[in-house]
Amino acid sequence: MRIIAKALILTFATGLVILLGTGVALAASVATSGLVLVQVSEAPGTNGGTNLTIPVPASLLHAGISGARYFASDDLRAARQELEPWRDAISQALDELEDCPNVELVRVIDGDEEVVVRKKGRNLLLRVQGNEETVLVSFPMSLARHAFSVLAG
Amino acid sequence: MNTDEGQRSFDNPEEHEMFVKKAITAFALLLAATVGTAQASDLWFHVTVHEKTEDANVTINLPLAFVQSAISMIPAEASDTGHVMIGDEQFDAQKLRELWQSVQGAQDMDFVTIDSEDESLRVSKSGNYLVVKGTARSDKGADIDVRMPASVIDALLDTDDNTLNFAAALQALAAEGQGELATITGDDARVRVWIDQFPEAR
Repeated sequence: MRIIAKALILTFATGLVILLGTGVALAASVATSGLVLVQVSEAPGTNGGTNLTIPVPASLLHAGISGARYFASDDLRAARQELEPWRDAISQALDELEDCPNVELVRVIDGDEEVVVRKKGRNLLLRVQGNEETVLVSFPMSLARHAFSVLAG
Repeated sequence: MNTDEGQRSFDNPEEHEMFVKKAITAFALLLAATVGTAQASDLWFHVTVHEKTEDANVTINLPLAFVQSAISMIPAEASDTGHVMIGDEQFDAQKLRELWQSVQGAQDMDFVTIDSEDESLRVSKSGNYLVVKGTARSDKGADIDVRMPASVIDALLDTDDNTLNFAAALQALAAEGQGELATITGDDARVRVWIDQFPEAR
């Protein structure tokens, strides 16, 4: 076989392995760290009734939160001083939320608008439903805990 | 009587029946001991608010243990100037403590009665409970039914100064277990607060 053909096959195989490996790594990170999901659904007739779904592996956000220690240290120091009196209470409150079963925590209905906060599995779901659109945000509790631990020190 | 293999066998049916009854009794007692008393970790704090005029509803279901953690986040100002409004009358923590200490050992009685154009309000001691009952006389008044265990009032007022101990009160509430705490029905809103073992409001 010609050298060029061999090089092409090798390059293609390497690319395939990298792609597959990345896919497996991504699936593994979603399985362990979870997924942050933002979904916006517009009512039919509103701007064409657009539906937007943005899934983000939580591991990426975990990395970003960890990086904040280095990029925003002054702001974090100020935040830590503010949170110091309530750090233990907030930590305990987050523990309790993580441990509780699937449950609707808060529901507020005001006319045509509805806000629901629900614990489902390892995730916290926030749904805001209005006349024109419904916004759903779902994120793992572990992300909230990590963010708090970086914030509170 | 034990066999050579260490297994139990019985000489007669009566002995067998007695053993079975004892085993069932022991198991029932063990079950009662473990599930009979709900702890704070098993209890849920519920609040429902229904506003008639604005057609708004609020439902909150929180683990009681979460509320206990969150109570310590109440700003110091809120507990430092401990005031309780009963009707249009304001009672500070010191006054409430004196009033409570004077009625604690007394028989069941009404110790505060407030009559106004809009409502009549009665605060009384009934057994181990502090009961607040209000009857609306006009659209501005409200029907109130609050029933608070005495141990919670003791804990709330267990301070040396003019503050209210919300954390201790909530701990005492958790120890009391499930029950209806307050129902307030006004012209435009209905509020209900209770504790039970179910995660979602019923």
